[in-house]
Amino acid sequence: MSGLFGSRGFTNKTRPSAFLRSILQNGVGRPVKQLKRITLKFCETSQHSLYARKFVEEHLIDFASRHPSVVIYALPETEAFPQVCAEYLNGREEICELNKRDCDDILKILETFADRSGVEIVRIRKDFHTDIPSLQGEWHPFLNFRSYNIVNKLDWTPKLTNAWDPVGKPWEKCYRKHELHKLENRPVLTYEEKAEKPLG
Amino acid sequence: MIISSMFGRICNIRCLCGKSFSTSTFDHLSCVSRFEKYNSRSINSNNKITFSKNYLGCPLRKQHFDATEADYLNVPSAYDRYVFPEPPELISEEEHNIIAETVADCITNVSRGRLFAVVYVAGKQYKVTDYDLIRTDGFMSANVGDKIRLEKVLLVGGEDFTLVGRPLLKRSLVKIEATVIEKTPGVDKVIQYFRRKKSFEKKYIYTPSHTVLRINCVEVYSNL
Repeated sequence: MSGLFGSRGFTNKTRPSAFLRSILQNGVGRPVKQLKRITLKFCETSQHSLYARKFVEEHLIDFASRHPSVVIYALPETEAFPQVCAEYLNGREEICELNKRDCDDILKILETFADRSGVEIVRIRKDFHTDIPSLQGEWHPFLNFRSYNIVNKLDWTPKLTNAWDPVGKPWEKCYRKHELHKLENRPVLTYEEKAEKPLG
Repeated sequence: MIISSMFGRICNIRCLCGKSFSTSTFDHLSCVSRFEKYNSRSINSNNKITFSKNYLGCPLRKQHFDATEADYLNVPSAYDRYVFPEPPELISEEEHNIIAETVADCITNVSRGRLFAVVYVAGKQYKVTDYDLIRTDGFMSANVGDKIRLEKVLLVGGEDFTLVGRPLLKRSLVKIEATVIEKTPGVDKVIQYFRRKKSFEKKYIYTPSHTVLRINCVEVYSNL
């Protein structure tokens, strides 16, 4: 076994990856549809392109009316396997074979082609892209150096206590003083008083 | 040794120093202080324990013959060793008013510059400015080319100020607009199991779906 996959295997490191991007800053101004052209190739007589012929007769015109900026070619050839080729403004082509697919599957494929841009499907490393990552300044460990007083350290020494000595209530430290008063003096209702109240 | 005197019963006590005596006489001073902690109620009320309203709100069923209420209330645990940090102190009203005025001035000032925000979209949070891209995990019901308003805003800030929501900020304060650029499927994920010599193998291919958003503007309106 030789080569990258033979020595390492099919991992994220060996397979190609990319960062998130758009074609020519697409959404900044008016959004532009990236699909340019669709060519449907099928046979007129044979069985393997039966559903393709059905799709061309019934569903193609609705699809074309929904995406007016896309140019659609339907090319019947003798003894040609059914096939869809989508071309993008990128210059890239995507081909899909429709040999054993229903009309619904063909519709789904075409709609995914219409929603996509011509970028290749590849592992994308980050789900975001910014040109200006920080406004208030990037953090570095010496930002708040002056406000950190080494004198005010927490006391990590273990304090020995006896099991019979009364221990204070540890939740008092988590609340502000005016909130403790509210907590301790909250109304405690009996079962009968709760029953009179409405539900929910 | 703990005293347990139920219903006026007299019992013999043995002190830790070795001497023994009955309940009626408390001459040994070094033992009295420890006994008082256990049985302060019983000494005052004629050797009878009174079941008053305790932390649980119901009378206790004693699981140990020598135990008292005080032992159930003050059970030590590993959490007592932890030193909780001090909560922050409230600032005075004057400081609050000063800060509010300066923030309002920063917002109304036209030349404040670019703003950033933290936005909750499709189960995840992103830090967002103008003209940057986001990719979500899953399809949105919007079509490609539509303009969207992102409503769940947790934080907004600029160079001089930040507004933190608890947990969200109001719609009248913040406005974030985005356009849907594309809706793609993602890289196929192969889930395969195999166990040797057991004729056990499964294969399942999962294709995720994504939407890409371009954020057009992050705006703040002064309604403080």
